[in-house]
Amino acid sequence: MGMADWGATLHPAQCGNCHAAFLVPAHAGAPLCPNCFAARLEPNPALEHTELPELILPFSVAESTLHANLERWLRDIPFKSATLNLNALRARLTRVFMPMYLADAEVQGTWNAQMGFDYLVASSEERFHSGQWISQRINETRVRWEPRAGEIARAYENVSAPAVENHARLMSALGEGNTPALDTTRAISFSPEAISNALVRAPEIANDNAWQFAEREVERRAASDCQTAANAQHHEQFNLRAAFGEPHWTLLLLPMYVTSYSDDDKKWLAVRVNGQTGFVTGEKRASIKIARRWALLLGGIALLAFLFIAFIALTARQVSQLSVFAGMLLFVMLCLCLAAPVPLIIAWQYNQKNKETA
Amino acid sequence: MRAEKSPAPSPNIPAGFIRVESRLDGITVYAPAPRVEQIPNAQTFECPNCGATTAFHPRAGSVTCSNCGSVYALRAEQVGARAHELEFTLDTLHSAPRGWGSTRRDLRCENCGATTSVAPTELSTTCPFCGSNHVAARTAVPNAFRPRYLIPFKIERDQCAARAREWLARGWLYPRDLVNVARSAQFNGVYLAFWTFRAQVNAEWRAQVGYERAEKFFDVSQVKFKTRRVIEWREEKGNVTLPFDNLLATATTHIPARLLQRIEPYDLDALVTYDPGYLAGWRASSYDITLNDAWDDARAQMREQTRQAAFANIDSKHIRNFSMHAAFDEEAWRLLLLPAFITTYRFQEKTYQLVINGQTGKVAGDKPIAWRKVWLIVAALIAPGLILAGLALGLTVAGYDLGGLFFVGGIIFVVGALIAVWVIQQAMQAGEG
Repeated sequence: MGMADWGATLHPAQCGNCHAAFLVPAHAGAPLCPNCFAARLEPNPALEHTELPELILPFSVAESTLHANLERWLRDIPFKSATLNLNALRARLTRVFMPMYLADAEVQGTWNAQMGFDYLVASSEERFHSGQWISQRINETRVRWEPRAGEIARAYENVSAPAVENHARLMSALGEGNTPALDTTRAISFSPEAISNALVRAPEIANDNAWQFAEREVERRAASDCQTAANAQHHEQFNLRAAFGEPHWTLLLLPMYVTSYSDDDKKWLAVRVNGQTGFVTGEKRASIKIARRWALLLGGIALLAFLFIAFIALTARQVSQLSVFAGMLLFVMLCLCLAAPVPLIIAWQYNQKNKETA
Repeated sequence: MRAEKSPAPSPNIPAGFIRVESRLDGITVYAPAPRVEQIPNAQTFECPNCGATTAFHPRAGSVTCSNCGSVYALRAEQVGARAHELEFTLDTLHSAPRGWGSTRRDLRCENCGATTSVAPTELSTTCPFCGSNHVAARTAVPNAFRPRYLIPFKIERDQCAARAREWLARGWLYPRDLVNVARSAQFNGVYLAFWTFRAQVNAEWRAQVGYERAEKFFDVSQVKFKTRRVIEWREEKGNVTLPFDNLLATATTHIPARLLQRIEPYDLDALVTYDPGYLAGWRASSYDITLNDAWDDARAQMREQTRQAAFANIDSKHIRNFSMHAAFDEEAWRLLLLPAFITTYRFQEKTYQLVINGQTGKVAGDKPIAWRKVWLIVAALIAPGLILAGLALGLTVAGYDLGGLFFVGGIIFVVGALIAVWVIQQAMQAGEG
C-alpha cells in the first residue's frame, strides 16, 4: 500500500523532536510539527506504506463557532503575550486528522460481581420547640450488595483503541470526559477530498498492540451491561472470564484544529480545537514579561511621585500651599507602591493555577 | 427477583445460585437461591407412635405426646437478643397496615376432616371436634410480617393457679375470699405478638440555662448590705447520643398495655427461631397494632428519653427556651411471639383480667378493692383524734381547762387524716391496676 492509494498528493514526514509522523499535503511545505511545535517536519520516505483509513469524521464546526470558542478561551488570560491573540491563533490554525482504531469484538464467557441495588429506607427527624415535638419523615437511599454471576455472549461494536502513543492526551484535548467527545456515528467513508488541506497523523500502534486497550473498554462495557441485566444500580468486584472473538478493526480519522502561541521563553504551546464540536483546550499561560513591564511602569510612576514630593518637602517653607498637594501625592505614591507588584502576583498565580489543572 | 427456567448453567456459576430474570439479551443472571421454607398450609401435631395429639411441653422443651409419652425434639436455634432485625424500608411500611390479611381462613383438620374457621390473627388452633392441634401456615403471610422468633413457654399451665393464688392473696386492701377464685380460673397459654425496636438518636439541644449566684445589694430601708440569690441566664447547647436496643412494644390491643408492661421483663436471650412445634397446643395471636403505629409510639418514647438525657446533662434546674433536634439512625424492628397466660375471673358480678408471664411467671392483673375494709380503716384512723379533740372541746366549754388535750387530739386527728388519705390513694391505685 503506497501513497497513491490515498488518492491525494501527500508526503510522509516526521518530526525530529517528538518523532510524530504525518502525511503532509504537497503545498504545505515543511510545517512546524503540530504535535510538539518544536521542530519542522522532515520528509521520511519510510512511511510511504501508511495504512489507509476506512472512516473519517469530517470537520463540521462552523467558522463563527470556532472563532467564538477561541475568543472565549482567550478571555480570562491576563497579560497575554504578543502571539496570544485571536488573529494570531487564527493565522496559525492548522487542520489535522488524528487516527484512532475502532474494534468490533465478540465476548463469550462467564462473569461474577457484587451488584448493588438501591432501596429506600424511612428515617425520621424530630424537633422539639415551644414545648412540642414536630416529626419529619426522611427517605434515605441505601445500597444492598448481593452476589450475582452469569454467562455473557454479546458483541461490542466501535470499541475505541489508540493508534498513537499520546492518544489519551489527544482524546482529553477533544473533550473526552466533559461531553460526548465525538459523534462517531457521523463518520463517512474515506475519500481524498475529505482530507484536503489537512495534515494526517500516521498511526504508530499496530492494531494487535491496540487490543489490550480495547479489551479494557470491552470489559468496562460488559460490566455495565451485566449491571443492567441484573437490574442493579451499582457494581463492584466485576470479574470476567471470557474468550474474545477475532476483532474487526476500523481505522478512523478524527478532526482537530491545532494552533499555537509562544510563551516568554519562546516555547510554542499547543491550542487544540475539536473539529466536530469546537471544544478548545490548551495550556493557558500569562506572560510574566508583560506583567513585569506593568509592574515597572507602576513602580516608575511611584518613584517620580516620590521625587516630586521630596522636591516639595525641600521647598515647602517658601511655598506652603504646595504641602496639601504633596500630601495627596504621597497617598497616590503609597497606592502605586502597593499596586506595583500586583500584575506580577496575578500572572504568577494564574500560571500556577493552570499548571495544576493542566 | 423472578426465577427463570434455563439449561444447565456453566460450571463457573457458583453452587446454590439459580437463574433469575435478565434485562439484556445475551446475558444470563444467576443469584443465590432464596431460602424456601417448606411449611404445609396447616401442620397437625399427631404422635407418629400412637396417633394421639401432641403439644409443646414447657418442662421438656419439646413436643410430647400426652398419651404414650413420646418426645419429639424441635429444630429451633437459640438466637437470643441478637436475633436478626429488619430495616424500615418503604416497602415494609407500605405493607405494614395490611398485616396478615383481613379475611378469616379455613383450616381443615387433617385428623377428623372438620373445617375450622380461624381469625387471620390466630396462628394456631385446636380442633373443637377431635382436639387436634393445628398451626396455621406461615407462608400465607407477607414475609416480613410473620414472627421469626419466639420465647417458648417455661411455665406450666398447672403452675398458674398457685402463682395467681399467691398474687391474689398479696395485700390487705382486697377481699379475703379473693384467693378462692384462682381455683376455678382457666388459664389460656397464648403467644402474644410484640414489636421490638432499635435505633440510635443523635440529638442537638439549645437552651437558656439559669445558674443561681449570691448577690450583695444595699437595702436602703434598713441602711445595710444584704445578700440575695439571683439567676444568671446563659445560652447553652450540647449533643446527646442515646442508643436504644430491644425496646419492647406490645402489638395487641386485646390485653391492656399497662398489664403487659407489668409482667415484663422478658429475657430476650431466650429467643429461638420460629418453629411451629412451639405453638402446638397453645394459642397464638398476631398483631393488631400495626408496625407504623407501634413505631410512632416507640419513637415518642425514645425522643422523650433523649430529652430527659439532655436535661440530665444540664447542671442546673433552671432551664427555659429548650429546643432539640433529634435525628434517628440505624432504625430496625422485629416481630416476636412472647408467652403469657391469660385468664379472667368474676368477683361480685364484675370481671377482672389476670396475666402471667409465660417465661418468668410474673403476675399482673386487676383486683377488686374491698372498699368497706378501706373505709373502716379510714374511720379507725380519723376517729381517735376526732373523739379526743371533741371531748376536750366539750369539757373546755363546760369549764374545764383542757386546752392541752384539745391540742393533742387535733394533732392525732391531723396525723390520722394524712394516713387515711394515703390509704385511699393506695386503694385507688390498686383499683386502677
